[in-house]
Amino acid sequence: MTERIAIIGVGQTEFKSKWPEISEVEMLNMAAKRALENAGMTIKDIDAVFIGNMELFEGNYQVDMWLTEGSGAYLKSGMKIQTGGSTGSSICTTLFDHAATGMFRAVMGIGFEKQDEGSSDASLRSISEDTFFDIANGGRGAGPSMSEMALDLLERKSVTEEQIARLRVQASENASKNPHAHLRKKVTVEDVMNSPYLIPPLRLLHMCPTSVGACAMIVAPESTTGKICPNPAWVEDWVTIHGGIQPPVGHLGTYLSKSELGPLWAYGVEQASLKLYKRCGIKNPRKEIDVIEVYNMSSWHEAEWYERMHICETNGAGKLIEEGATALDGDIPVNPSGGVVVTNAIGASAMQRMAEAAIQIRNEGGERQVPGVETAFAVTAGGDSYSAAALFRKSLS
Amino acid sequence: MEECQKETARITDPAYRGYAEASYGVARKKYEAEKKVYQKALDQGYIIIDSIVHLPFKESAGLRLSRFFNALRDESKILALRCPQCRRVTFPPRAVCGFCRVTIGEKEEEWFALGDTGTVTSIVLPTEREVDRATGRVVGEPNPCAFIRLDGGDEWTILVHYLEFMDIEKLKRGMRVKAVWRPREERRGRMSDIEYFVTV
Amino acid sequence: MMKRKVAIVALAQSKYESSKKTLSLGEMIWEVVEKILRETGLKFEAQAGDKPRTVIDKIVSCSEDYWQGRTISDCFYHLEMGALGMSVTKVAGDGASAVYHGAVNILSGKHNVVLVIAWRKESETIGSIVENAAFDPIYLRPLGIDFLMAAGMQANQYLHKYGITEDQCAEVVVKNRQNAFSNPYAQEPLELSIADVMDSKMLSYPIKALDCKPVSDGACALVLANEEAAKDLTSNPIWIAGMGNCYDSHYPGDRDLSDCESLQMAAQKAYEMAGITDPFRDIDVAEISECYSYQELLWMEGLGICGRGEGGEFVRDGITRIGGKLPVNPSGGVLSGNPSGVAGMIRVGEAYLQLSGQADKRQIPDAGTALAHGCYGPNGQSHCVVILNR
Repeated sequence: MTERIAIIGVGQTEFKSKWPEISEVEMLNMAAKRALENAGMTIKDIDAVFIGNMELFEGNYQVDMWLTEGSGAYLKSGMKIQTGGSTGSSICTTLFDHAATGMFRAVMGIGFEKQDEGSSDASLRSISEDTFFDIANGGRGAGPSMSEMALDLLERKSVTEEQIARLRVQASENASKNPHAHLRKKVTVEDVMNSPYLIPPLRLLHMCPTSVGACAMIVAPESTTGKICPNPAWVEDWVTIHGGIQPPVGHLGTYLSKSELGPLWAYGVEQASLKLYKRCGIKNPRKEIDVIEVYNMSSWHEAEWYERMHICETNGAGKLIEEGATALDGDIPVNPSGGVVVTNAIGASAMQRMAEAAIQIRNEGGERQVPGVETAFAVTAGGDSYSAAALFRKSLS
Repeated sequence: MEECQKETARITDPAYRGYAEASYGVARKKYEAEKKVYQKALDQGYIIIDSIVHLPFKESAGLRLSRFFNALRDESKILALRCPQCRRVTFPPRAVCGFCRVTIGEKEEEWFALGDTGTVTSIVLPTEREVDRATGRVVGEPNPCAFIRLDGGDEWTILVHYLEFMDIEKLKRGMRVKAVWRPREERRGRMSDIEYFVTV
Repeated sequence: MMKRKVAIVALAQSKYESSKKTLSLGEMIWEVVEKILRETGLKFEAQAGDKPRTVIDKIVSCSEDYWQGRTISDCFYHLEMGALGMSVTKVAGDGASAVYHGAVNILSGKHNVVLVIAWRKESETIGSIVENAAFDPIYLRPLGIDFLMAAGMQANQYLHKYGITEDQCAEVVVKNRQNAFSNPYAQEPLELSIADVMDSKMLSYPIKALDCKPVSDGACALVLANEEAAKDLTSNPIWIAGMGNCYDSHYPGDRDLSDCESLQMAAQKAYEMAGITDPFRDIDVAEISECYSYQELLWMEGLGICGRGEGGEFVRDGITRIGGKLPVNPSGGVLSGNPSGVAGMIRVGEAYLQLSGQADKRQIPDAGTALAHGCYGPNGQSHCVVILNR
């Protein structure tokens, strides 16, 4: 009964910092309609709709109920999935599992955030930590864990600050070619190196924005795909690993650089990547994969993930950057979309990594298309080391 | 949070004050910019609905944390649990050892006290602060806070807490710190029964 | 047909209480997980050491941020769920949907054994404020509406259309609260007469205090396994024969509240999969989520157990009592005290206990096919139906 599955449609809205002119319903509807158009389908062809959203950011309880008006979930199956920053990718794995059962003709998932309606900053800083130990606003949210990771990269001489600045420039180059990115302005190394410190060595321009927007994805089993989709992005396999390290240490990426499990921020991404490579028979990811999308909440994360995905050796992220290997025209392009550092609508951002991988496979990347993509890989990360990874192919052998 | 309110006037180090003011400035700028965007939409005839959700909570600390907070308040002790199987320390006390998936905290021999001294493993500087949407007030504390590995624990033992005001240059990972306890009559059986940590 | 693909092999429940003050949320969750681990001897895939052939390789949790007042609320209890290093997904909805998700994880071929956990402590905050936030922020929420008021509207429409009476609804309360005496996990068994229910305080016409479920704390966990693993774990697996879920429209004005189209569709999907053509004949016991007494009648009609408008007579004629032709809620149902969000999973759990012969004093003899139902959203906007077979 299980079937092979493919992504057959992707739709994204524009991403901005504030969007007071439309409601959440309209925003979701926009993404859903674009995905359906992209797939050449109507809502009647979809059997289930899944929504993902961190409700406290917009203040809507049971938000999937209200949003049936725009998501197309009316009289269809579905449920709401939430796993923090990796919500979008959890929706994707839910879509993949549902499609693989063969019980549905096609399923659609929509990840979104309309953070201008609430305050995700406040949510993350003041109420995402433990009641009893939240003495110091949980250490001020995700920032501290990120600074630990950045310091670790510098200390073991994996990268220099200048190389990280170049990664940010690279992301902006790609974003300028991506009509769905939020921060599309090209920046220079000087811009980055001179931007104010937030928590040293993290600077303002290293960090992701808070964005408003939605992303929708349609997944179908082979039996449907074969009939209606000339250009599917086959999903060969998918894996989720969750770190599960707890407050009050801080679930937002954690803070321990040395533990028996290794550095805790790396746990999810590394384990998920390795598990997926093993299952798919990938021995040399840099050679065997054509394009990668990673969850780079900051440019420092991008460098860290290079190592954790094993596309370079330990402490070799800087070398990869020097070679220009991960640029759009490099031998292992990473984040042709620009990644999370240019667009972060929390419910959507993890889905956009998988969506972009599918876009690249289907040759729909426009100006940012990497030529000749046969194999794409996406790995996401979120609070408490939630990670999902998936491998996509142009054709199933 | 009210017991942790510190007056901005207490900031004496000029560089420090610069930090705090800069972060306050950034927060205010964001708030003002946001108001402008909304005003533009309102001027164009769009409706924006304000609402606040007030949800009061009464959370049970439960068996283990009640014992923990009582010991904090009454005996100035910071308690932790040692797993009988793997010997790892679980701090703060919880019902299960995350590694072994066995129940902990029911047997007396699993409980022990950590020291109230420790080593700083990570520091947070008081930088970007949040502005309360409804009132425009800046929230958050200007103190640095730290992740402190309390003595007697293992690599999994971390407490998040405030540090005293000090020169930014002096804030270093690896610093040794000691808890400053509130006077007995001010304690409530909360983590704030320790006011902050000072360097030793 | 779903023949023998996914089985329930173990269940653990809290004793549901109006306020579990002495336990933290984490301790409440660990209590049920620990019971399951002890009963099955299962380990988690991520645990180091010798790997027995059958391990839990997926965790599906079910809870809501709003009830805990924090975002990514489930991550505070990942250690209690055994989630260190594991694959975890959180379904933010009703427990029956979480079971559905867990079954899909197995049916996709990607997982073998799934631990599904739902929890809620309703006593820790104010339910009506949370419920108000479930309504859309533009039209409905500013009215201050909560689920009780919405239920009042639906009850009015339903009772009026079919001439169902308030004391027929009261009959449901009497039955379920009486059934609760036989259920050691039930929160509040009560010896009631119809007059007791009719005399209780009017809250939202026609719904009175005893027509509502009490505030409740508790957790529930169960283990799903594929065919091979099920054989390893138990001699008495209970199979999921069919399942379906479905959303309705949000705005009460867009729906005929005396109808439940989404429940009919969810049930239809489940029945088709399970090969059920006549629900009344083919089902031996039903556990239905009734947060308000009228809902048991309305949902029975939506499930096709009785005809439209016949719910009142059905219950009055004793058909749904223990000993009747189709016992409904022998566990005492949600009305006897279940936390919302967990309720759907408890129904699945109770149906499992019935079919596996573990229902003790509330056992329906020779039950071979059971129906479990969960609903979520205002006025049961979404429903999930699970059919179990021996």
